[in-house]
Amino acid sequence: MPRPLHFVCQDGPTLAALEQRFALAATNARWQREGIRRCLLDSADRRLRDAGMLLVHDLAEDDDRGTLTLFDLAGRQLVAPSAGCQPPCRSAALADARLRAAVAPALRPRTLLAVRRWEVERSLRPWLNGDDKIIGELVLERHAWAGGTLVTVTARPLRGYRRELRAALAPAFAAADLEPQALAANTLLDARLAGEWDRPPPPGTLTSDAPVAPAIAGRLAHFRAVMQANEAGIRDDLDIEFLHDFRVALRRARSLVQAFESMLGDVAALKEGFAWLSRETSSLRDLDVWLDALDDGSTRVAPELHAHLRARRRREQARLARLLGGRRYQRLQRDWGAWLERLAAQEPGATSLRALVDKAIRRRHRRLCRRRHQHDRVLPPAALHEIRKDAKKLRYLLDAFAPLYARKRARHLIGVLKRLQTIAGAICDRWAHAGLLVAWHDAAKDDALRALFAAELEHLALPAALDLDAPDNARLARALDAMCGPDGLDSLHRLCDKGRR
Amino acid sequence: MKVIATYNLKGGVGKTAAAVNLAYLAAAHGHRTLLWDLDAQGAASFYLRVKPRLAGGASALIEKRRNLARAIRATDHDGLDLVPADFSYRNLDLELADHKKSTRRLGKMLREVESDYDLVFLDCAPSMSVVSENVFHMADLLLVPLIPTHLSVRAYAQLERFRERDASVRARLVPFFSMVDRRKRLHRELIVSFAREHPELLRIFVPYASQVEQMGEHRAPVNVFADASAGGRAFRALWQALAERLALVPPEPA
Repeated sequence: MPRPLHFVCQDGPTLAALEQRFALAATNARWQREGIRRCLLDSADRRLRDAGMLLVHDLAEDDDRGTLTLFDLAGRQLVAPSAGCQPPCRSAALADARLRAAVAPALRPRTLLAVRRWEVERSLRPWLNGDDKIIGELVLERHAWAGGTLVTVTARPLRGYRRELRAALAPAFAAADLEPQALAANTLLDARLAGEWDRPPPPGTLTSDAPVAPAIAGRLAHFRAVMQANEAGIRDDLDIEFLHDFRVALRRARSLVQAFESMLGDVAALKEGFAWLSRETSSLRDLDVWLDALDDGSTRVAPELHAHLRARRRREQARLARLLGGRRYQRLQRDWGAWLERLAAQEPGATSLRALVDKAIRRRHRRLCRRRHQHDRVLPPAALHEIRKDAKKLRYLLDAFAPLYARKRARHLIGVLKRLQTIAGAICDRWAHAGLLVAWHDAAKDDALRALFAAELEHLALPAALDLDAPDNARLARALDAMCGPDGLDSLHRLCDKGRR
Repeated sequence: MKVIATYNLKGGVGKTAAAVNLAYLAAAHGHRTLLWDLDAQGAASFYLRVKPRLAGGASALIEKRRNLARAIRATDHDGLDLVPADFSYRNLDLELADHKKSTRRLGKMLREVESDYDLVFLDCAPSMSVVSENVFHMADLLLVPLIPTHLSVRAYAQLERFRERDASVRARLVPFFSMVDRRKRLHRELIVSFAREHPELLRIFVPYASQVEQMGEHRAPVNVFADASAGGRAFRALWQALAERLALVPPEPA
């Protein structure tokens, strides 16, 4: 797809005036006028934009679906226009297969939201050459939003005709006194309307001899910022990934505090606050995971139970939204912030950061291996859950301090842990669903509901323990061996002993 | 990417009309379509209003001084692009003959744009040459328009024999009758006898219709300006039969 030519009118003429400026060019085609409500669709954390894509949703008057077109940041059309959608929605809800394939890898599993909205008055006409062949399209757009207006002229050449269109339009552009613009109108407007996404600041660079307390404080402050950036999304309930990111940041902060507890002073209140927040958010996350699996068809339950899950989720979400606005949560955030300021201002000690982190990583790995070796080839689900938690904590440590290590070795170990987490996660999710069912069953007063939960429990048919020699569990057994066997130990030694940057 | 060539040893049988109309219909059905005008006359390019000109000529393409993607021009019809003809194509055989693997060269060039298109139509010149051998190797299907005359049927027999001789040719032969005048006894009889001996024949008959000739006046496919005409209906039926023969899955509706 050829790159379009973009121009901007700073004096903001009307479209009628612009049409007249281009009226002299030799073509018998007429201007087509239309009014559009335009929005940019993206995930809340702007994953499409980060991947260099702009998904534009145009809605004409009396149209509730509109059209979707995918552009790159230079305004080049990546996927032809297709039927629109009704955001918020997942990429699976997009009707066009090519569009789905283009956005899903960047977006997954985020929800598409309307991240920018504005009104566009558009006038367009095809541009023909001497053979009456269409060589491109001239698009005049007047963008209007609460803060102002912007008029853009875009010449979209057809494939193979960029040079010819450029030459044909050059006199008209010169006469119209237009300013060439490197960015597409949508990119320009996206940046002008609200600037960049309010991304949490990065945790800062790390070196082996960095002062310990400020380095840890920097990491914790980053996790706190990520949690705060996701609060509004959890309250508005537009995408289940807001809560996921919130909980991941919370867990990362929690594991960091645990790992360096001995040198952080009195953290009992903070730890208790983290544990409370983790408990309070877990049931909504469990329900989200279950409902998501039901929505994408990877699991099925009775329709009555599905409706029950939805109703429960609504209640849980409302409860969590209240909790985030509540006094206890606000106090936790405030105290945490004040504590971080004190920590960052601490005098640097004699211990090197690298030595401290090495020790913490080895300790966490030892704990993980010990937990694994308490069981032989038969693993109770509770043990797998604990192993998974230990693996997560180890991974969070590695993620947080990866800049201290040789990139290749750190990435290898993180990859092994990720694989273990994914495989164990799929198993643990089913046990988590069973746990919810048991709790609801015991608390239910209605016999019909109790019967429903009992039937689903029976349907889940979960074994009392996991046999690692069974073919179904072979992947799990391999992932555990890779982390807790000689290979895992070897990778750890390579990382800590030789992986110095 | 599926490659369909309209080919016949004999000239004036409706190869270009078939290629242009079928390519247009394929694009209209949502398939990303490329038409490569391999005939130095440049009739397909003319029908689609694209100048039959290639910067550097055929030699630039063959010697890889210019890649195929840069030669592609969009037509006025959504989803349909064209590689225009060039008068230098008259020497394409000579250009190809100078290179190694001369009978696979065009197919290799086409693979450069494989990811951009679902369907490629090749509009071939009426000859049996190195270019034809390239076409036989790169096409999945050779669509052979026949007019119901003895010479045309004889040319098809020659083509069948040629194809049988070379086991490496993967293209299937799919003949159909074009420029049919049902009032003529000879046309009726020839069609019946040919159909009896050739089960691969598509049972679609493109009539000898003035609308098809008017393509030159409108410089557009028949279905753009006379969709409901006999010619327009015939090409739609031909497209349908072809899509079934190739087991083309229509793209998801936009």
